[in-house]
Amino acid sequence: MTLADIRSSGLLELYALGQLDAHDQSEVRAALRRYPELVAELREIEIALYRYAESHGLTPEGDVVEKILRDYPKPPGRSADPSRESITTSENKTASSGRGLRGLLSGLFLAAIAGIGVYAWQQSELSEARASHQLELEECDTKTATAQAYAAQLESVFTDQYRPVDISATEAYASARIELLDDQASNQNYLRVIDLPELAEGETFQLWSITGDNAPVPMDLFDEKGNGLIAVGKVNATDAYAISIEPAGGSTSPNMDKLVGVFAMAG
Amino acid sequence: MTIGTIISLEGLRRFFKDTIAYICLIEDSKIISHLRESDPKGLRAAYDKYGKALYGVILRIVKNPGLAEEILQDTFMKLWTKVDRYDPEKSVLFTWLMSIARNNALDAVRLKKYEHNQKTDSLDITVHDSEGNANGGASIDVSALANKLDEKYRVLLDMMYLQGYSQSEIAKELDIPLGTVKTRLRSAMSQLRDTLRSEKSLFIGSIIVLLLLLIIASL
Repeated sequence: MTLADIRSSGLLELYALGQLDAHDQSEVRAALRRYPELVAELREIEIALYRYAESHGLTPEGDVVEKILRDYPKPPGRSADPSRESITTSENKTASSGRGLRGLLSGLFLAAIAGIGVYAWQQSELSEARASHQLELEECDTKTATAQAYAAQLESVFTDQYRPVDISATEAYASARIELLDDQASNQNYLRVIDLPELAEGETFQLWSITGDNAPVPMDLFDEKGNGLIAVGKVNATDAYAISIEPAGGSTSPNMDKLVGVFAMAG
Repeated sequence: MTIGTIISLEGLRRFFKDTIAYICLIEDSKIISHLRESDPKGLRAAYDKYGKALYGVILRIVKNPGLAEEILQDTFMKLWTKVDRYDPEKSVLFTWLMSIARNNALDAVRLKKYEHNQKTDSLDITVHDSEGNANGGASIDVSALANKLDEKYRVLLDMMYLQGYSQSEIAKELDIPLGTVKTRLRSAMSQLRDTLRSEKSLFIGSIIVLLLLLIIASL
């Protein structure tokens, strides 16, 4: 691109306005290196824009500058207040002028020791930060893998092959929300837990199959809560499934006082 | 142009303002030098010089004073922590800061899904902001700069530079072709630069005439 091309293209203006994509930005930068006279032109555009923004400037209501000067990450040994620092520096200069060479050397020695200390401390902090960052990365990877597995599970079960059945919660557990995804084609169902009551120590949830007047048949135990899919067994031609809270290890017959709800499968 | 115009107080005011603007840019190197030495004086100086201009733009984008102040603070935190990434060869400090501030503001808008509401607001908001104290801010200067631009250029420059619109968004909003946006933008910038140049000439003329008058008076 020639100098005239750049000037007539309007790229300089867009560059200063931050409206160029990466490719055009590198074109402009290359042109600025090739034609140093463009730099002055770009500066003129930038100054014009600065003046324009300045003419539309507004004063924040809050004490933003105080917050900035209070909260900026301070390097070790720095004063928080620039004006105070200025005074301190000035006082130090006055004081130091009266010291002898020995005092100066002692000061330098102490400063060097302090510098080494600060450096060692910074290295230690850096090392800790790196370790912590690594842990966070690993945790993030684990969570990502879990989320991906869950997403894959969801994708596989939310098809026509699965019939969702909501629980009819008992009065004692009226807030319970759980869905049974009835697989029409295999011998496995899923429970999609949305909200279940808190379990006491030594308790577990138990799934039951109920067919006709027969005694409920004990099935899977689970204690998961929150959003998630739980693979459970399936009984063909069952009239209903139920969930109750039982002692850890499960029971052979359901505790009717702690019956959470029933999934009616008939129909 | 009459002598009266040349030596008017307004002319002098503009002269000093323009000169100060140039000095500000020259002083960028001093600010950067302080910041690279981790000296908070650089932070204070940068805020004093650019804080209001940046806040004006941020507030126009997010339209929420509290959020705008947070973004302004974050912009200066980034200046403090990432000053080593600033390259004076590529841009003046204000351009770099503006880029950080605008991107942060636009990110905040996207995040909070304010965009739709904002962009259906009247464009007049910008004018009111700069003329009064709308949105809780105080105008620092209703410069003749904006008034000297043609309306169609001023609207476009305000949308792009002060309100964070992209070129295609402007084309859609104003219902004009993208090519027209680009052409008008160039013309707007050209007009803005011409305005600044003529101001500078006017100010230099003012000084010369003042000196001549002083010499004549002393004779």
